[in-house]
Amino acid sequence: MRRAAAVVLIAAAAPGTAHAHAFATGRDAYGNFLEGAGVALGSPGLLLPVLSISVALGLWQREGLLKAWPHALAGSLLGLAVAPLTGPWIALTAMGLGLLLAVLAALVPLARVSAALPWLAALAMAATLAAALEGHTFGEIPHATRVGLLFGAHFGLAAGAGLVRLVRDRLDYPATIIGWRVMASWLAAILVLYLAFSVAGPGA
Amino acid sequence: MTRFYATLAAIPLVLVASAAMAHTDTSAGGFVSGFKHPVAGWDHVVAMVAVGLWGAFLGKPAIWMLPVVFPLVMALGGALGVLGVPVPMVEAGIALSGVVLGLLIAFAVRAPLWVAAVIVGLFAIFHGHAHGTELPEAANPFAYGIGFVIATGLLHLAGIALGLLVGSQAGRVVVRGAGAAIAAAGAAFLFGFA
Repeated sequence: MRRAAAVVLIAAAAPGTAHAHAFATGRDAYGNFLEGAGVALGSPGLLLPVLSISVALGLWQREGLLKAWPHALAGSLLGLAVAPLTGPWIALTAMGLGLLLAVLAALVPLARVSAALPWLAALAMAATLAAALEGHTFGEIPHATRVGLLFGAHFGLAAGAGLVRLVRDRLDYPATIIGWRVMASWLAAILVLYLAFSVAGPGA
Repeated sequence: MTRFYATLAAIPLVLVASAAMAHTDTSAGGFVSGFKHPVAGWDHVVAMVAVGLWGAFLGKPAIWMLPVVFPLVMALGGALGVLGVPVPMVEAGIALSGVVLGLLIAFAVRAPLWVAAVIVGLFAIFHGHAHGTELPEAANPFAYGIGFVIATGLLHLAGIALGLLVGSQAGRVVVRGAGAAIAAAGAAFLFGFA
């Protein structure tokens, strides 16, 4: 128990570049919703992990998204709930988990990690949603913004996995899977570079 | 079916649609800057084409595994460069990549997949590091990263396209000749003739 508390304290005290998103409060509920969705879809640090998850799930199985969606949704809700307890490290964690999924999608036959993939997706979604709200205390952000974040992230997830499935269905060749694995490696490479720039900070 | 392909082709255009910013990519960190980095230097170009070429020469699964491994490891090298982690003999490593990969193609060396991946990955670190250190002020790392990775991928595809000629006897000669030319270009960079 004491060790767990120490880990939390170290994590909270660990220095890092702030990645928090500034939300403009005081709008109507729909404006807040749109702002949340816009942050989820417009921030590379959030969108890249979501796209990595979607490509991995789309490559895993034809119905991969549907099988893992309950996990991803539960992870997202957990992420929104614990966001105020996180620090700047959560943004890097989200990108790291997105990177892990993109690398798995690029290099590993995903049937080998079937059991772990939905849970990895849940973990990555949790980190991504927590990163979206990182630095904001409980009650500071309107509920409509949180719903918008949730919607935006899951819209990106569905659109990405849907596109993978659509292309796989319409272009039913072995090269299609290879093409998506190459795309996953590109996603991973972009994430690596983005992670490096995020760690190095604005002066890098 | 045609409409499907047209729609599919239009999706990326819709996703990347943004305000017009013609000729604004003068800073170090935009899409154009990222795209230009891998294609601006011939030492980079010949090595990346060689990766695709050797992959095509080795056949499945190397034909796609090498172009998957290279951008991944190159991005790691780029990250080291961005973070200021030193890597020794980067320029020599880049020039040597052209020599080694070119010779492997010219002599039609059929290395096991893991050996090929290790060779390609090792050289990718040098290429990535060179790009990473040349970017002290990245204005838009996201756009830069996309441009950087797409350009690299397209160079691999160019190599793969050329490498698919190995299906015919004459094509094999062309591909092995291209390997020899790549090795010569790498040697020219290595010994300071280019």
